[in-house]
Amino acid sequence: MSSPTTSISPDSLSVVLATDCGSTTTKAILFEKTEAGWRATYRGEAPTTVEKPVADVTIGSVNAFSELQELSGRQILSSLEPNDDSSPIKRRTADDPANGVDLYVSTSSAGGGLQMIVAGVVASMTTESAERAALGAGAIVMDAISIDDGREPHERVQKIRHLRPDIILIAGGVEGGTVDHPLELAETVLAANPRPRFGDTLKLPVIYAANSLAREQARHILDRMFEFHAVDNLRPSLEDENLGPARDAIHELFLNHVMSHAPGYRKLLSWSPIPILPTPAAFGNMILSAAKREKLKILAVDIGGATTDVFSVLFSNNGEPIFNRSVSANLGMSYSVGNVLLEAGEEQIKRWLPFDIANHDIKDRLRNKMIRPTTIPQTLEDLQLEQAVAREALRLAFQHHRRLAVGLKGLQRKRTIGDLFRQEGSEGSLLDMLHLDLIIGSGGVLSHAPDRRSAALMMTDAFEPLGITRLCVDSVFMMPHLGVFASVHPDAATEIFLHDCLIELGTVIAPLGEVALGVPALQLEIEGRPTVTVSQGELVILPLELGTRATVKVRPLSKKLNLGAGGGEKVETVINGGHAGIIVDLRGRPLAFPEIPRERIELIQKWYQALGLTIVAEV
Amino acid sequence: MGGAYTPGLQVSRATTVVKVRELPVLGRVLVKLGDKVEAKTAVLAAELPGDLSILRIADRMSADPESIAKGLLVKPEEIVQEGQEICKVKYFFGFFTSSFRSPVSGTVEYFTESNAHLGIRQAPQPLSVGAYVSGVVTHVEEGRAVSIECQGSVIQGIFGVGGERMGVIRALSVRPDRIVTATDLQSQVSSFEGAILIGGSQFDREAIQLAIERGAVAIVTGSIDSISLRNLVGFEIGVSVTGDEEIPLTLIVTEGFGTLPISQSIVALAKELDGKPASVNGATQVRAGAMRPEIIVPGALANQISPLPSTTTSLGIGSRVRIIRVPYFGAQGTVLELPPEPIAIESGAVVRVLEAKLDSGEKVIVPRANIELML
Repeated sequence: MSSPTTSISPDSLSVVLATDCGSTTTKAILFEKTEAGWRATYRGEAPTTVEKPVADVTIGSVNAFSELQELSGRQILSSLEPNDDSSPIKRRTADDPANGVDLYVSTSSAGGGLQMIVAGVVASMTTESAERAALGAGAIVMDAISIDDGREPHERVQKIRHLRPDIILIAGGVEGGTVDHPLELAETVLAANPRPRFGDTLKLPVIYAANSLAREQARHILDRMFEFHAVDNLRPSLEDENLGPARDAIHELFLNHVMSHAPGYRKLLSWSPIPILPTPAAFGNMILSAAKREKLKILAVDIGGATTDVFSVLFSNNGEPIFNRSVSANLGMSYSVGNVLLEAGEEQIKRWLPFDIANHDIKDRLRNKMIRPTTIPQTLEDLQLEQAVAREALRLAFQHHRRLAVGLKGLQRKRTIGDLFRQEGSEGSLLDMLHLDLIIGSGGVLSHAPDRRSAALMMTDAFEPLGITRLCVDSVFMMPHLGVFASVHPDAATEIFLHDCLIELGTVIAPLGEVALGVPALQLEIEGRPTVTVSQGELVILPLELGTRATVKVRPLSKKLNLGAGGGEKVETVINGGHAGIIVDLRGRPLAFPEIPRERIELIQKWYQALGLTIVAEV
Repeated sequence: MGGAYTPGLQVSRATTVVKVRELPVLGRVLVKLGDKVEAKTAVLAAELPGDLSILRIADRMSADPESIAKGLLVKPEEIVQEGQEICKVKYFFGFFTSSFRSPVSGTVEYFTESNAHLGIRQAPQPLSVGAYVSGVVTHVEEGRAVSIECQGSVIQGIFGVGGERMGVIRALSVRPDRIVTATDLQSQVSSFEGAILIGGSQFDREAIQLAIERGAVAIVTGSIDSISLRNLVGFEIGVSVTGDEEIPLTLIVTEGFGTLPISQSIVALAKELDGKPASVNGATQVRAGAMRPEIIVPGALANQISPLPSTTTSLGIGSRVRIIRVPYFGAQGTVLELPPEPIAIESGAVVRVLEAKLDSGEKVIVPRANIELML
């Protein structure tokens, strides 16, 4: 991940101001070194200003600072009249430590974030590597083209002609391999000639990270119409994936080309000595940093209004972190809710509802949310409909992630930290749910669920965890701020992450495998309590309060059931409590639903009741 | 956030309208400051780069790239004509020659020696941008954009499909909560050609079909159901970024999806504007830029100009509001109270709310996020 361009001593920091300039809201958070350690102390927000009539991101940022200033009592804005070039942020001094800040950092996804087109020769090899480089750098991949994608060249041209990307990445051909194919990709890009999103007089940046033998000829093809940047081949051999140079070039172009042409960003960039990171890159940075420090295998999801990002960090046998990120660009809870409806279908959404509702009513309600994205559910049934949509959006985004989180088809790869991906013999997903430690949910529908137990049920339903898995939500969408702060002070960022950012929902215990419905399946011994037996088909909650931990011994009553130690093997571990407590989930995997609507509704009502959630009588 | 409510959609009898017309690439401005223009006047022009033809000459001539490079008769930046000989290759010890003729006219953009691909850029494609509304040119940004200003009436919708069109307002005498049928149209509309049909809670399938067949350019109504929308555009819409649909007329809904009565204020204004020429655009972009569909009627009621809509419209006691989410979706009323502290609503969320008296007389509590100010 990105490292700061300016060396800042972590010891010199006591008060840090961080913003995330989102597409709708600019969120400012104050991180302070207190007697108890580093804490997130105050949060303020204001509408993001990157659109007419106020097309200057710094206006929204200053408004967010003002709110933070009012709430904290700390003077953050300088009393001096700022001119165009000066920062309005007051520096903290030894004479007046109660006011000002030591450092300002920011992330941004305003205006749709960083949007890229990637190209490669073989879809499952170089294109996939290019996609991983782009995603790892925090981009949304608008389209991926491959020589072997089954389309005619003119069809590829047609496909990308009308897109308005920020950057194009060309991969393809191992070193010493094919020259023709990367050149054909360069020709395709030239023929399509997509225009850049910002700055209609500017040349669109193209990063060439393909076979170096074709580099100069590709430059010759593209140089007149595009801003050509060549970096080391991101797939120098079948065995090697070298994403670092391409990713660094993406970040540099994001800052110097994309960001600097977005309204007001040139000024914002000058306020911080730390490069502004794309929001998802910072989010991933934080997940990776925490996973490494705590040795946790983490799955994290950020479900927004327009897109859903999924991150995972696993570890290879030699302890190296394996980081993955996927973006489902059209799965979200407001702008993209109509697309969730299209991809999932109303029947799939309906199956999660504890009440009956007409299909056309589902469609109309969701499309009305799409065109009025800032509205919120007032009634319980409307909230539960949104939560049903969230389950489908999360499920689809997770499927997408699993498809991307695969190895390089039987090969061993060299890797740098943060560069993602271990190669395995299997073509299956690298994500082993049975050994995942923690699932983190972020985004309004999860972080701001009125009853946090419903967030626990949404995540359990959507991800279907296996083994023993801790569930948390991001309290107030703080991970991007922490991610960029982690590039300066990783210890402080992790401390805040664990103390203030994560809210414990509880722990899910769910075995892999099944026995017959109604047959006793698991026996649980929680310290100081009588033994509990749970049968196949049941969803049972065992209270374990927020802030407490308990040693749990779980014994599968059949060799068909595996909690991670092997079929029928007992597991003993210390688990965290939370808002929902211990969720013993013996509903089976994948979750099955009765075909008769009344029976299905009764089953969903049972699940809701198990977690103590309110059910709507009739709609 | 104090301003967590949707500023309402504009329904103005008389206001100042400024439309910025922009080119997607650098080009030419065809008008000058102060010029009076009609809606169909071309105000901007540019040339989009022509298509690139990639000629795989080695493959076509069954020769190796090296021979092609030696026999190439043209070089980058040279203009070639369709049928022009551009490569001549000698074979069989130079006794025979084979030639390759360009299948297109254009300018040579590149030649790649390793694979003998030749890129020819065809002639640029002209692009013209019209004024869209009749008015006066008030701002010129050389090579890029102009602003056209007029006085007129404006109606914004919540969602639309189909692009810019010009026509004449035809207000229908149909109750706001009634579905417009083909029979209604046949009995009320004397001339469909170029008509912008306004009224009703929605148009049924036959009414939409009749409007298309008879040459109407737009339908403006309260709502549309999912099936009718799919029938009209030919696919399911998943993200509300619209305006490029290739459909025979523009459709604008003022309230949303389902069957929702068109607002009374729109019905009243449409009646006043009946028979006037207007410009419509169904383009909707909910995200980033928040573009809503619109009907602009220049000059119609221009003797009653109100100031430009403020970007900081405020919500206060007595404000007229429309509720935009269940359980009171579509209801209109007046704000009675604005409690400063967030309160718990039925969903369990603790949010800022307002109390409103609906036109039916019922008093209701709704989240501030779920209302639109009626402008």
